[in-house]
Amino acid sequence: MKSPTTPKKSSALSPSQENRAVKNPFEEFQTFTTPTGDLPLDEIVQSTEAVMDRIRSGYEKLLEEEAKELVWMVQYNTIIKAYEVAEKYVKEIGYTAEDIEDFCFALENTQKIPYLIPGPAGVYISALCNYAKEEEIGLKLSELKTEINLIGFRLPKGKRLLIEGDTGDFTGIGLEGGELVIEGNAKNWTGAGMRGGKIRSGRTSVFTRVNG
Amino acid sequence: MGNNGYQKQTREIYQFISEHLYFNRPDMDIKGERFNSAILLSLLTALNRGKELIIGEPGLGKTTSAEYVCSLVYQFPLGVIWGSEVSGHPEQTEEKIIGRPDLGKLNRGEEDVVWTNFSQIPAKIVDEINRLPETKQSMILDGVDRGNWEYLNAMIINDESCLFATANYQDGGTNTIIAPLVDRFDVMVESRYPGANLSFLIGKDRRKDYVLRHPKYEKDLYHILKSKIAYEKKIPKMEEICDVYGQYIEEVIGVKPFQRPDRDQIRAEMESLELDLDASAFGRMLLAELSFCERYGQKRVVENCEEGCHYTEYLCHQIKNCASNRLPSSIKQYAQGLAWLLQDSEIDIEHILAVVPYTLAHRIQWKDEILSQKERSKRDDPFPIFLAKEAVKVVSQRYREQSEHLKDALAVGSKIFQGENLEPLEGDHPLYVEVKKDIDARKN
Repeated sequence: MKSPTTPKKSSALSPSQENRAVKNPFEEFQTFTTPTGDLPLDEIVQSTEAVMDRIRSGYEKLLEEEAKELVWMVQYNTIIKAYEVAEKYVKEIGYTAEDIEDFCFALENTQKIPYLIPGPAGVYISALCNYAKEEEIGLKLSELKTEINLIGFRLPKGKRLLIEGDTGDFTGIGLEGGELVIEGNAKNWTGAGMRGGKIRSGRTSVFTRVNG
Repeated sequence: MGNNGYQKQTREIYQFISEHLYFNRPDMDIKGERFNSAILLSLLTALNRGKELIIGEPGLGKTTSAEYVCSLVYQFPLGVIWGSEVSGHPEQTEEKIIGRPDLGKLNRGEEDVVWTNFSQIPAKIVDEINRLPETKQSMILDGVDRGNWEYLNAMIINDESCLFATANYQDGGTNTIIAPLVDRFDVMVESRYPGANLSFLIGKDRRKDYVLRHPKYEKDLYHILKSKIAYEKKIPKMEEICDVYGQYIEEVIGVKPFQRPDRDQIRAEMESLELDLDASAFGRMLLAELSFCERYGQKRVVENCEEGCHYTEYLCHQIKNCASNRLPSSIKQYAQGLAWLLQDSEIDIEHILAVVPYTLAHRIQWKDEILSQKERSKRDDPFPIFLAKEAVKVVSQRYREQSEHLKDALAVGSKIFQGENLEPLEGDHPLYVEVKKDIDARKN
């Protein structure tokens, strides 16, 4: 019957040196390395960053196409055209209402978005809100230094957009049946050209149009 | 590990005992297989030269289970096993346990020893060890530990031996087995009540163990054991008769017992199995919790825990004594046996988790508040084994939560030990402190 042989480890030490050498009690763990697996939180963060990158990219492309040399004039046709461009990019992105709010925050607080131009930003945010899956969207704009124009542009019926903070000019213009609530102040030309829906601003101002 | 069929043979012995001799329910689940702990651990004890303490109520098969295992693993007819047992009672003497003077020679002025069957055969059974005085308990455990049996100026050496000791629960006629002695048992297992139906079956067939008897071979073996030839010369003669008995058993019941070379090969195979990193790290984590004391350097039974100790959530706060160095030996020995039986190439954490409660149950002295907290818990096991199982569950949960970081800490420890300039990893568990202590000791 074959007797088993234990493989002998080669040693650089002489037998007497081996006897004197202190035995490493952790030796078997010498070659252990922690496997680099992704933590669920890491995966969530990566996924959120990927979405934000796409939203940012859409905004940058909008600026490239519509705000050449970072100048953008608020006119009927520029607003329509900017919105069409924004729609084109927004439709391709999978995002949530929280991502819209994160984008609003990132507009002023990250160097990844170098330019906050209130008009195109407002159009883009409006496109994001109009194409979001959620029926009710809340945006906290109170911490932004810049008041964003054109928030709520073409807000469709069935959507409710709640803004915490002040908005700029042309808030809710072209509203298409949605409900826009601003817990703050809106500026000039609020609700201009709205076809239907409701705008509530501050404590008292209410704009309602029943039919388009 | 060679595929020589020994594991299959062991399972066949297990199957035969559980189906024909020792009726009981499986109570251990290991990697999807169910075993009865008494038979499984007894088989591992017999194969791996262990020492097992079997507890239980009177009449529940403590001694008979050990007898069956010894008969089939060591190829001794049951009658020889019976005749070699030492029974525990307060008047038991060294002469009845180890040997006596040869009175005929003594009359002629010569000293010679007539060795008992107990000291000569490898499979040793002590019935009701807790009824023996402590000095006799110690004498038996010493003898099995060292393999030497001495009387007058003579000595015999057992090349292989295992010990099964039975003990009833505390009653008026029994002593406590003191901690230093109980620590020398590798495992403790209960021989349980098999339930009313199996018990009835046992009652129906009281002569079932006759298959393991053989009057002729028993007589031949007795003749050799009592003969006055040197012990070294008796061994091959005994093995010859045992081998013939083994062939008889194989013909009659279809189960092949193990011969001496088989047992040697099995032991070599078992000893070649090493622990994987998880098994090793978990074992270290458990030992750390059973021995650590931040205030006093280590656990000591004479020192009490202080209030507000940072480590109150660990086992060290629930126990009085320190884990002995025999504990990791026992764990490894039985985990090796189990891994070998399951034909695994190394010992993993499942093997460790299966055997640890049985190696730990008799060695821990729990604090009174833990005992009173848990003694009314619903359980299937006797209280010491239940507490050990609960403790192992808790530690294994802790291990699962931080296994990677713990192994990292041990890996960093190894690198520092070999001279790399690294900082040891931090962690809350006592094992991180132990790693630092070992590293500091190395530096000094």
